[in-house]
Amino acid sequence: MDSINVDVGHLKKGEISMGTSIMAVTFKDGVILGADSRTTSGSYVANRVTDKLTELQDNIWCCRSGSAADTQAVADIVRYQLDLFKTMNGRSPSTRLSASIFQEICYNNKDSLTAGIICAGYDKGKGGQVFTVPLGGSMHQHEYAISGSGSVFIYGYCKENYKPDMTKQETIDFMKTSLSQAIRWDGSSGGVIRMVLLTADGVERLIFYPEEYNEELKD
Amino acid sequence: MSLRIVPEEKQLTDAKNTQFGPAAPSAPGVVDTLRSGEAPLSISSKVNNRHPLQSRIEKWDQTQRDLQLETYRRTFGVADPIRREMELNIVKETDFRPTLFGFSAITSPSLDILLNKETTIGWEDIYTGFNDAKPTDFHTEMEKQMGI
Repeated sequence: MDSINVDVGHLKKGEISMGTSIMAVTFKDGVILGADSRTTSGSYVANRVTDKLTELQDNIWCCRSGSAADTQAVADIVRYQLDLFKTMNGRSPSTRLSASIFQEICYNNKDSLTAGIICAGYDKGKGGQVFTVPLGGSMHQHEYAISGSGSVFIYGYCKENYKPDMTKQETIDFMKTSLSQAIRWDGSSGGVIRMVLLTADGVERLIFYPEEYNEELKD
Repeated sequence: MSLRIVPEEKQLTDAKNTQFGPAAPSAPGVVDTLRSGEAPLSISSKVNNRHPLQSRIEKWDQTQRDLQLETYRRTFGVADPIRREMELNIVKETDFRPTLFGFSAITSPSLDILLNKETTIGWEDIYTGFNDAKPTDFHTEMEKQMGI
């Protein structure tokens, strides 16, 4: 009994998994979060229209991957902490602060949690920002981030096709193609593609059905 | 100081012989079996072969309280959780439970109020056998008061 073995990759028996494809991309006017909608329990699809994009504040959202229970619990706690911050300090928390709280919770509880989060938000001063908090509880800021089991198939595509400061329509097309490829190759991802746009105009939700993003189903 | 949201599953790597019960006054190396009323216990049965969820369930309420106090520390300053813990400890040390009540649901009203449980009924009020607090007898009370 001299070392602790943390099997961070493994879900507990019977636990519902969100094997997933999620991504968040900054663009000229803000940031867009995107996710697939499949939740699995083994090979059984527990929910084919899941909403993996969770609101923490009006202008700060997160994409959840990993164990459904763990990510819901952590997102609830982070939302509570951010609401408390807003009440006590009279101003909205920053995107970096919410990612930082995620990071602290994921790191301190890393032996019990299986949660990979992408936290993204828009504020007037800094524009759109994307932070990724993977399994061990580290925090990284990027211009765009992809995560989840389906993301491994699109690393090359995203690297080649991402451009900084794209327009809204370019970003939507980029994310739609990326996520549709991730869904195509990953068995744990599927369903609809959900997106959330965070800009100075507020929040906009989009949904794309398989007929719209899957080339093989078109015409 | 950390935002621990669920209790950890720590397998004990060492154990003292008086870890699982108060030491007998006259034989400090041994657990006091006469006062605790339990049979002489085997340390290995308490340390090994625990259920995977045992630690989680036993320490759940304390962990949630610690998380709450940590949030108060960050919001109101370091004095707030210290004061709350101090009040809880004072009540635990000084509260008097008459033997008449025995193992009933009435534990300590002050404790219930401080823990925000005075308006709720949980399983621990119905299945009272898991209450650690024994109805204290006269001698133990006197020793506590005198500080012996």
